[in-house]
Amino acid sequence: MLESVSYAEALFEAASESQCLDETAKELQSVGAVLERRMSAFRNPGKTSRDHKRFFSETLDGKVNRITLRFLFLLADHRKLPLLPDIVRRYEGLVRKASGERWVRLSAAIELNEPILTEMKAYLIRRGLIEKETSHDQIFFESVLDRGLLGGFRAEYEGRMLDESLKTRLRAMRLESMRF
Amino acid sequence: MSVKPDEIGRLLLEQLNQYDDRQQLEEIGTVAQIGDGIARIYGLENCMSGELLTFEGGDMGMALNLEEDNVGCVLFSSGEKVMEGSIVKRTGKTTEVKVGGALLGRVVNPLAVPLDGGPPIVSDKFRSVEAVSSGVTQRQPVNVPLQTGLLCIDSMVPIGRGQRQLIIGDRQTGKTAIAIDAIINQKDKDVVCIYVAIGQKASVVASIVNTLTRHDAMKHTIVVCATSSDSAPLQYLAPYAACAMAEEFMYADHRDVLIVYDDLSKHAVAYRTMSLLLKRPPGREAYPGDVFYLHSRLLERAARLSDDLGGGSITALPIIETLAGDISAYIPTNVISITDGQIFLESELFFSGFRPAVNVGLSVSRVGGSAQTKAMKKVAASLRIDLAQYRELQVFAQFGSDLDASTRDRLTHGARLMDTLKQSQYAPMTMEDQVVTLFCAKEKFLMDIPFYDVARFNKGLLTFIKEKYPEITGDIRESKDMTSETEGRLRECIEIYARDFKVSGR
Repeated sequence: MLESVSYAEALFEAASESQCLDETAKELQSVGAVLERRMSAFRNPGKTSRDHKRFFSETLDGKVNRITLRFLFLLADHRKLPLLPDIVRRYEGLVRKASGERWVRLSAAIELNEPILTEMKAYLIRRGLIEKETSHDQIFFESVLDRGLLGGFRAEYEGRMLDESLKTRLRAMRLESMRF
Repeated sequence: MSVKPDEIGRLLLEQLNQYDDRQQLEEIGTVAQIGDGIARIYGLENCMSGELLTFEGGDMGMALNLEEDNVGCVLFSSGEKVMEGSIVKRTGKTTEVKVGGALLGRVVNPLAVPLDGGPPIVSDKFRSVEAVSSGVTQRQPVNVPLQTGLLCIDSMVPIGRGQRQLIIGDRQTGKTAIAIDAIINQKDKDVVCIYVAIGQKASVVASIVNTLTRHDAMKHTIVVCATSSDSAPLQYLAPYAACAMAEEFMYADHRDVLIVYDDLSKHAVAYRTMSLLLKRPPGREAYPGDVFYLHSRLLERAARLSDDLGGGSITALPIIETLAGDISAYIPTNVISITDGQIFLESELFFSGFRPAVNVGLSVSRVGGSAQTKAMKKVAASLRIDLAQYRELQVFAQFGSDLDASTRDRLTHGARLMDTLKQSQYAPMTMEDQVVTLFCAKEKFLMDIPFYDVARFNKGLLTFIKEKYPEITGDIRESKDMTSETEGRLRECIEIYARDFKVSGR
């Protein structure tokens, strides 16, 4: 996971210098999808990095930009190709952030519809988890259904969390009651 | 403890009503890697060193390595529920432990969780396990004795309140026995004792607890236990947590505390395990570079506070196990240089029947001398020299059989002194008894007593004085001195007793 972050950040820097952030994202997404299907081949210790690079050259040369291809070569050299799906996910997060999209991960025990999400946005701004939307950025929700929360919700944004789930409340009450 | 149901209901209702007010934004990270009790966490950018972290599922850990892109955290539990991707929350506080009088008489783990099958510890007082030691102006010199009840220690390597005195020796030489005797001797003396078992077998700890209970010493004692089956982080934490408990008694209650770290060799090993797993660079014997600081910051917390701060104290008795008597190994030399003296125990003495097996030549107390009572100073002043001369002569006497009368006298006197210093386990002596016993040996009243009768003679003498002349020991106890008048009376008393003493026909 930690390695994926470092690779994604390096790729983001290189792609933003070459001004091909979105293009690289799209290309890596499709390559990543293919790789995930053929992951066993890339994990095969019998295949050397040269074999992998030859495969990429033969199949992708001229079809993807220079940065994408060189990045795949680098992963092949370091034998980190299995990390590609995770790297792509993190890279997409960086691209979204750079384009002004703010994604909040919202877990709840029930499906959340549009009106609830709108209310949630106002509530989370009021509670200080996220700042108000401006002309440069917009807030989006990644809804996660987690019945284990029992009720309430849990919102995560950039390393901070507002946990108002019933599960957490009950656990806190249990800990408090243990003090008697 | 009786708990009323309606009271619980009321408190829960209060908490429920106030619950929303206490909701706060929490800083979170995700577990990137987990294994061997170590978690690498991504995120937690504002995490503090030593901060307590909580994992999903309730596991707790302590942040130790703050790196560029991750936080290295040691887990206090097995961590079976912690998985890659689990959420980790900051608590905003460094690792704390419950402290206070509720811990007295209990056996707890380093997180103050009871291990004795008793009820949970009820205390609203917490202290950080890592604390800065008292400053120079907050302290006062060590000048009040802390009696161990062991004749050879209280006379030749005296320990003062606030001192750090190392007990060092090979395995099975009686290191723990000395510490336990010292704890037993603190009964009814308003000294709180804390025994910290680090990396020991649970059966050994159980037998120590039994011994303390049998001698009615548990009521003033806390046993903090991280056995060999506990994780390395728990073993690492144990002495610091115990020290935090001791500090509460010293700072808040202005009491004197005796803390025994048994033993710091295993503590260093636990820290080495943890450091290697955290990928800290190994140094000599694979210990990390800060292994000296590990023990120095712990032992520096022992202190005797100034009267303005209440005058409480923490006396530390760290224990170090050596291999084949090698006191020049890495950890022993470190701890010797940190402490204010050491009691060196020898296997050879132990197996020759001289117990406690204290090597008086290698043992030293750098600050305890000023903590000795005047009476003890008077009778013990020449003891070290006499014993040194005896050892020297003993070596030469092995080569020849013709010895002059003076040399023979010195050898007999030395042998009687050695016999006097022998003491049974769990039989601590009061200061006045020690003074009387040493006076008797020093003044050569034992010269005509065969070696096998020395212990019987001494024991009988003390009983005789207690029955017939209690004012002698009473005077010594009250004045802590031995006036020439008391000395004269004691001399007469010993003469009377010696006259009637019958040597056993062995």
